Amino acid sequence: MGDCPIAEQAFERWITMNIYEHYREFDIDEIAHGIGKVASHYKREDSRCGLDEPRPMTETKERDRTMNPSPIRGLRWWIAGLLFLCTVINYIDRQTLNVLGPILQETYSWTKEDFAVLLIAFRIGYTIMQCVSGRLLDWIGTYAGVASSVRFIP
Amino acid sequence: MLLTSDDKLRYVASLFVDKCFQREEGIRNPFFLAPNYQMTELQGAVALAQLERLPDVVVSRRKLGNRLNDALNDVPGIVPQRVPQGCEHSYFLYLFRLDLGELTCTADEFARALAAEGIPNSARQITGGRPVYLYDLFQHRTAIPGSAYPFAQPEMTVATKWAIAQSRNKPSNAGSP
Repeated sequence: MGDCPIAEQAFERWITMNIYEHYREFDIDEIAHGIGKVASHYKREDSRCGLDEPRPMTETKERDRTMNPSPIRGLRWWIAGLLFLCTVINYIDRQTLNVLGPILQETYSWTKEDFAVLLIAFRIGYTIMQCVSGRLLDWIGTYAGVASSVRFIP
Repeated sequence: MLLTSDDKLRYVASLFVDKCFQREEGIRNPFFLAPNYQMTELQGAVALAQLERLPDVVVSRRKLGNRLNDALNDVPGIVPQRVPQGCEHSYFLYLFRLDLGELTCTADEFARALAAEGIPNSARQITGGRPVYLYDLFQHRTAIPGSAYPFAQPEMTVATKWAIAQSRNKPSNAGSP
């Protein structure tokens, strides 16, 4: 050590993180808020009896809760739960035809050949979407993509 | 592909294709010059196709990175990355510096608190946590094991020196009748 004290000192101060192209401005604002929150927690306040010790986390958490109340308590868990439900619904949708097959055949007097044509049509649509859904999601974005996959895609 | 029962050879080969980063030991301190030949043909083909998206990706990252810079400009204790006039940043990584005079924590403590807020990050980890010139490769001048190249030229023989001197003293024929 000692070849370039400025560079070596800089290493003691750097924080590295990733920002990705699919982030939204809301995500960036959340990151900025998080960084500001931590910086505020560790902010040096010489008037505090001259102590350099970090304040207890509970104190800052309490202050943050008072100053910046979260709109929904445990928002992240709600989001995780909704994503799980999205996945469950999509898997249930895929099984619908198989489960309803016998009832549909009886109700509409379909032969096995008729029902096979229906399944093939479903599979053709499935195959086409396998090829283009990636591009489509890139185009409309992941947020609108997930919402539309639950709302519109059977 | 290399198949061997020699563990030492396996270890050196694994270092050679990975910039001599010692991942098994969890450190990045290259001690010889090594390339980064890890990509397979299939990965290369996918990357080539993905390059079409690169301009859009860079535009999006610039917009987001600049927004984060603007948001952090007024936060005490945080020094966002300076983008010089006339330059643009692609934000391959987003870095910022801590003004430790304003804060009562180390970079590691700050990083842990930030991670607890749900923001993945690392402290002091770029280029293995040390400036590149402190790599053993440069400190011990071992770019190529067993050789001082390119840090020192091998001693020239008398015959080589004589040949160079002769070529310099040789009169030029340019412009002669």
